[in-house]
Amino acid sequence: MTISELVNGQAWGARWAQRRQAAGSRSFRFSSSLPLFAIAWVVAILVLIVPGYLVLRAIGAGQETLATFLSPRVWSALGNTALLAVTVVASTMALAIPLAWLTTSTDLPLRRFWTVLLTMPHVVPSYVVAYLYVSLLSPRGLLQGVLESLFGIERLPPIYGFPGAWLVLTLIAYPFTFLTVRAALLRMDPSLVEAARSLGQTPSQAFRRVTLPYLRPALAAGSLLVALYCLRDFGAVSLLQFGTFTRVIYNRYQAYRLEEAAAMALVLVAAVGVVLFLDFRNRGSGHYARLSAGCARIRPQTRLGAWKIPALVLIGFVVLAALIIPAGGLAYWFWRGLNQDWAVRDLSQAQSNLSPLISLIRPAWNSLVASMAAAGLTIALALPVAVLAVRKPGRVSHFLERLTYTSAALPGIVVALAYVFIGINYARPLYQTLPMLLIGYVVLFLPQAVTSERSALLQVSPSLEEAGRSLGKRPGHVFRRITLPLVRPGLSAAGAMVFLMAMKELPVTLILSPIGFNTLAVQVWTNISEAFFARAAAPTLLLLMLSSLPLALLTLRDGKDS
Amino acid sequence: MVRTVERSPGSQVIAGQESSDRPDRIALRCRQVTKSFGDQTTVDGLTFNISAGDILVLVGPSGCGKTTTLRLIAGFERLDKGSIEIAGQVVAQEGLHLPPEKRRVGMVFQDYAVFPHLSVGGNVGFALGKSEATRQRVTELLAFVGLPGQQNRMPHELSGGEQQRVSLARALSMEPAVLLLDEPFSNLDAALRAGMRAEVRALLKQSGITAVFVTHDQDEALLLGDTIAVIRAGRLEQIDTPEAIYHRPRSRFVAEFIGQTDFLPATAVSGGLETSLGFMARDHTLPNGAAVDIALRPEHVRLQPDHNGLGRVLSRQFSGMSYIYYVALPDGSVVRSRQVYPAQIAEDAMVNVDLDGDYDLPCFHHGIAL
Repeated sequence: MTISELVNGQAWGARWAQRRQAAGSRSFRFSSSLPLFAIAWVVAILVLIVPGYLVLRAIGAGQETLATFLSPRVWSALGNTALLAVTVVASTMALAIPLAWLTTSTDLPLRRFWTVLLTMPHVVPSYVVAYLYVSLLSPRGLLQGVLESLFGIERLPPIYGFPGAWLVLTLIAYPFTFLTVRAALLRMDPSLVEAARSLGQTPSQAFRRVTLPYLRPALAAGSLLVALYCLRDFGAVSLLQFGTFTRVIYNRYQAYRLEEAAAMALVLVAAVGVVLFLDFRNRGSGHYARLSAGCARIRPQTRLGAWKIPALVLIGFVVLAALIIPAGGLAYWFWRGLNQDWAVRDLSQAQSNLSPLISLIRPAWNSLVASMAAAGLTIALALPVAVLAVRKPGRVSHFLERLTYTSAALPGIVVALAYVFIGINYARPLYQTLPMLLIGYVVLFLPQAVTSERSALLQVSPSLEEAGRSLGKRPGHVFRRITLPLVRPGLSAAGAMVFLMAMKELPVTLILSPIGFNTLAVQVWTNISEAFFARAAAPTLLLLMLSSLPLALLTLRDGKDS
Repeated sequence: MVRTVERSPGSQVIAGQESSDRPDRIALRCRQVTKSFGDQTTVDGLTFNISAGDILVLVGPSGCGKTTTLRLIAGFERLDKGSIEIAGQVVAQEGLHLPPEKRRVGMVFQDYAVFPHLSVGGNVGFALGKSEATRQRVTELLAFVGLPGQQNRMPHELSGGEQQRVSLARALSMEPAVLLLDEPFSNLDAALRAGMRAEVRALLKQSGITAVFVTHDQDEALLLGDTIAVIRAGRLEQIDTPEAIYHRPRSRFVAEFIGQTDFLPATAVSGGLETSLGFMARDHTLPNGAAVDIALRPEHVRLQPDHNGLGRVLSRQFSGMSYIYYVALPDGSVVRSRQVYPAQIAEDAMVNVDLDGDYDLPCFHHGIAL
């Protein structure tokens, strides 16, 4: 309001009119979005605290931080991390493109079945696959035992270090690219390829000149996820003893070199930031052109003919390596574990055969409680951010949305470290409590929740909400009766994803859990890091089953609906 | 397609309209309504009224601000200046913004916005709450829009035309003071569109409701409106009956936008206008030599094959009931002529061009009607 308006009094008149009106009606701009902004700001602060605190701490340590930045340890960690990310991205791309093409665009038998199998490694924690491969391929592991009895081989080349980390991360991370490329292929208008063919291109030329360029955004999106996975992974690289950042930071933390850990965490955050920035710049303003709606057409399929056999061999090999070998190893160790513990019982204590399983009830319960709370809290806190981003676009809501995405640049180990420091120094009552653990989970899983909630909200045409308003209903009522039912599938999917990730999450759980709060993931980790492979099998099995339960239920329900 | 209904049941279904007893009552009053987005003034001082029971059509090229005007009336946008009054109540002015749910406006959206998770009955009864009376009313409304007994169907089972009817019934359910329709027919295919236009107009007239349509389609505007407002760059160009808009356009823009229109350049001389086709008598106050454009519609241009004629036929288009001839005139301009007789004139033939002497051809000086 300007001075002149004040002087001539018109604005006051308008104000009074508004007041009078407000008796009967609330001005909707404020009533509906003020609480949303408040919650979104709280979320933003929870995220900002992490890098903010690390920066303050690093500045506070001064000399020591500088020394850490320049130490060879940082440079070797940086080199190892980059090497791992680049090679894994390359190998996952090489696997994902043929696999996605075979399962969408050819007459390969059992395509749905293969698709399901090929997607499954995605939900297995990296430390589980690493543990099973270590137990199988380590210099004196299972395979060596078999080979020794057959051929007298006494030692295998080491799986530890780069080769093992590369193999395991490739096997776990390729589904990211597989899924994005698959989705792009399914979305692709078949007439694009037909147009190329009608312009005289052979099928392979058409693939190279039309399909591959079309897939580029999908490849970039999938590869970004793969690269982030490599940068953030803690379990596999630790077990396989490959010195990437996460492993080195955790070692420093365990050696109580907290200043050093904080400084290195900052370098890691910067590295992830660089990856995100490169992706952002690469994508630029280029939105995917939306293809004409048209009628859904039956996808023309390439007939493989005799190529079916090599195609099946490729898929079979991937399924074997990523799924069957780990599953077989797990079954083996589970069986060994039952017998072993039974033998132990005879020697020492009088416990029933099932006692190792009964002892898992407590950790399983802890895992379920923490993960369910994390899922509920994360989708609830992400919702205001997503709603503001979609429905009230503006500088502030855009900033808040961006900020939540930046927490994708914060690996679990970094979030955990920052909150441990904060807990010890400023929030003693929260230190090593369940709420602190949940805050860690929320910060960690926020980007996924915001992304899927945002896309769910984008599916709801604003005119649906406007129709509700024009039918005499308040914004809150419209949100409950129109928006919420329509985005509920998206919210459940987001919740199931967060639940799954929280069940598997290792560094945050290890560092932020209350003392004695044993979860399945911690149980698995403790056993395998001490090489009790047999004892780790039962909690691993339970973890896998429980963590994918909500996702499986959702998938089944979706299948029924359609 | 217009269903014949004996003694408009609509006036019972849509109660609460003051149309029949007080026809002169103003249902919607917009005064100097102005709205900017950034430094772009989208709606620039629009002023118009609608009498209760009338249908107003806002028409103009895309981006002219007509949809923004509709959204300002509905309350989805806040105006910067001016005021909007619905049924005698000020709903928007500077510093006052009544939210959409308080305005008693019904809205039919371009994409229909039928709630996909609710049945047809759930959609139509959305505003009404759960009661026996609601069920009764939903039944009436569905019968009124031609979907009797379809309460339990889901939106994805409906065709575009049926979704449109659901959307209309839903908007009518709360007895709005004004019904707003945003390009309601643009998502229908051409065959269905013609039928739905006529039918929706008949339904609205039966119910006596006040309605504002937005369209960019001039044919649709002429067909639907009791009154047409032509909007250009956020300003009102002309508001009038469809006949007046067509026959007496107040600006060259309106003449060009409505109907098929060509312009014949002319020069003012005393007592008339001099064109390349000869002298045309016309009263005017322009100085001699002033440039004038004469608007010609194809039905006002007559052709006579004549070797010594001034026009030359460039091409012709057959449209079933008539031919449209494109004729080049001596001054280089091209005009269209509609001939309802079987083809008689070959392309490249010379013709005598004759303007309909009984018709008062609209003439413009600097874009403004004489």
